[in-house]
Amino acid sequence: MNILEISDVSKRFRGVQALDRCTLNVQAGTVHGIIGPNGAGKSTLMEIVSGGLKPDAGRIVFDGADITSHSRAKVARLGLLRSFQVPRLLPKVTVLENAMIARQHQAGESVVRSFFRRSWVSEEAEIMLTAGQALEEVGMRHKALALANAISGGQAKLLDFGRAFIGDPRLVIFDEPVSGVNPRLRTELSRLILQLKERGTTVVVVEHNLAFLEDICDIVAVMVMGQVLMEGTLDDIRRDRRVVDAYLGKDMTA
Amino acid sequence: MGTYLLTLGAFAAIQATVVLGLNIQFGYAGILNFAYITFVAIGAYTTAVLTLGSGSQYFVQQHIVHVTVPWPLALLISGIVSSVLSLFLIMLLMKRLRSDYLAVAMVALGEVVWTVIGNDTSLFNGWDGLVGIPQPYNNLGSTTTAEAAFFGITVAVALLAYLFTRNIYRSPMGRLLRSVREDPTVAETFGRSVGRARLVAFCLGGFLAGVGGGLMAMQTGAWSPNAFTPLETFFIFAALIVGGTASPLGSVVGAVVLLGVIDEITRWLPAILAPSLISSLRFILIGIIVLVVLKVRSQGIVPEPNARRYQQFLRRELRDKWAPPLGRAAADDPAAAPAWAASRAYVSGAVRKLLAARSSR
Repeated sequence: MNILEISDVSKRFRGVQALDRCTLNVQAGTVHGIIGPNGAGKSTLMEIVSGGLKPDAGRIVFDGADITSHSRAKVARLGLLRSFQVPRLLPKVTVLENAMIARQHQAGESVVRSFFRRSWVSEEAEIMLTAGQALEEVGMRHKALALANAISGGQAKLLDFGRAFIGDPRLVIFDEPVSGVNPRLRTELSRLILQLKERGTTVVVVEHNLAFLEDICDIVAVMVMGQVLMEGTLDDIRRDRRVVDAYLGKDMTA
Repeated sequence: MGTYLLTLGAFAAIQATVVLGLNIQFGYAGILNFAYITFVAIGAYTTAVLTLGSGSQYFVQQHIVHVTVPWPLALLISGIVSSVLSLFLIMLLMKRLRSDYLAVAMVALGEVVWTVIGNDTSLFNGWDGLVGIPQPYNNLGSTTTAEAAFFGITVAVALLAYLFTRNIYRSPMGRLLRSVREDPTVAETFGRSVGRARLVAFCLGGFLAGVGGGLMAMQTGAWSPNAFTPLETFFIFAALIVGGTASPLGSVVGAVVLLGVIDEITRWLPAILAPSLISSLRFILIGIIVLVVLKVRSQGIVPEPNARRYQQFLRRELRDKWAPPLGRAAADDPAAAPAWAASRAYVSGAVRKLLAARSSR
């Protein structure tokens, strides 16, 4: 079953055709990699899927619902979580609360209820414990009460991953999660992605690092010039002449 | 001297109420409302109109508002009017303008309202303003008793405003507002409506502005455009920054220190300078204090609670919520006691671990 269906999506910026009738299907429960040269439209596509940009043409269906013209918030409410290339944290808020915000539909966020402590306190405790467990999962528990502007780049990455464990999203998009990440943290991040998959979350990863994709991906799509050139396992892709010419280069095929 | 201190105390308490309102808007949600004093003025005029009495000679009394309401109701209505007008305004502006543009539009709005009210004598008597606004319980024997009564009222209102603001900070809605302040895109990424959150902050802050404005009008007994020059907004911002942005206690401290004490200190300065310069000294003094605080302690005198709030929350949870019910359940069903004990150990263990995670700041 396809959880995400992108059909014939086009997007033009001034003179640049960023996406040109791009079609891509993501199967539920898989880890789907997207590779391609810079400027191929990967990030634009992810931005459109998550509601940050409106496509010029085409249709996007997520979990049976047409989300083509949905706002960011509306897409998120359906269970699609997008993580950014540089983790976006709330700097002057604690790590714990940075994690807790990942849980949607909190009762205490309504104006009236917020004045009646009893109506939200037990939910708050439960969210807090869930967030605490997620931080434990990613090895960030010792920083729970530090402010997010006081943690390192790698820790920010881990916290960003931890958020994906909290709201139980149906699909998570990671945009170049291991760019500028040391090898040890990279192994850790691939472990976390596989763990997400185990929990039944579908994962889409936009990435340049093939070794990383090798560890986690069930299927990889290659994007070139705003279109999906081909899809398949990483081995299929390495053998494909067009991909080698467009993206990998000769020495990567060995 | 006693009467003077009571009057000064009441003044500081009113300022605290007003600063707390701005704290919700700017401190929590990060909205740069440079027309904040306008909403204070709306509250002041509302209270004036509702309490002046039909005997007064002003147009509004004779032709629009025929009723006179008791002071608590007048304050409440002032808050609501100010809040509702905030709502209208923000629905008009916020849809179209981003934060920085909104700030500029707000400056313009403050000027426009100020000029219109000042020049339109038929509405609120123009620059001369409204006089004879009654202060509650001002007929209680001596001046000192009357001032003491009003001091009591203002402190009670300020206390309620403080608890109100603190409660918002501690609730999940407070977290939502702070996340909108820190990064609206993150809030949206997690499914929150940023526009709605800003609207809520704006209305709640506008309510406190209105109530504070009503009290101001009652204290001075008069209200005219001179009392809400657009520049006043920046003194309220200064008090918020000096006290500690987003900190409820900080707002109170900032209001008392900057708007209460410092404002009055200029009065006691030796008359070396020409008397006309003394009032300008207020601006210089406030400017210097803001600069010094930003340099020495940029988070303000009382910083935002943040992590401390969570430690308190966790402790209370552990003590009040988890431990007693689990104990009772174990007592009711001895067979299940080991399971309950295990779950209790799990919960308290999880909470303790989180508690142990001290901030490394």
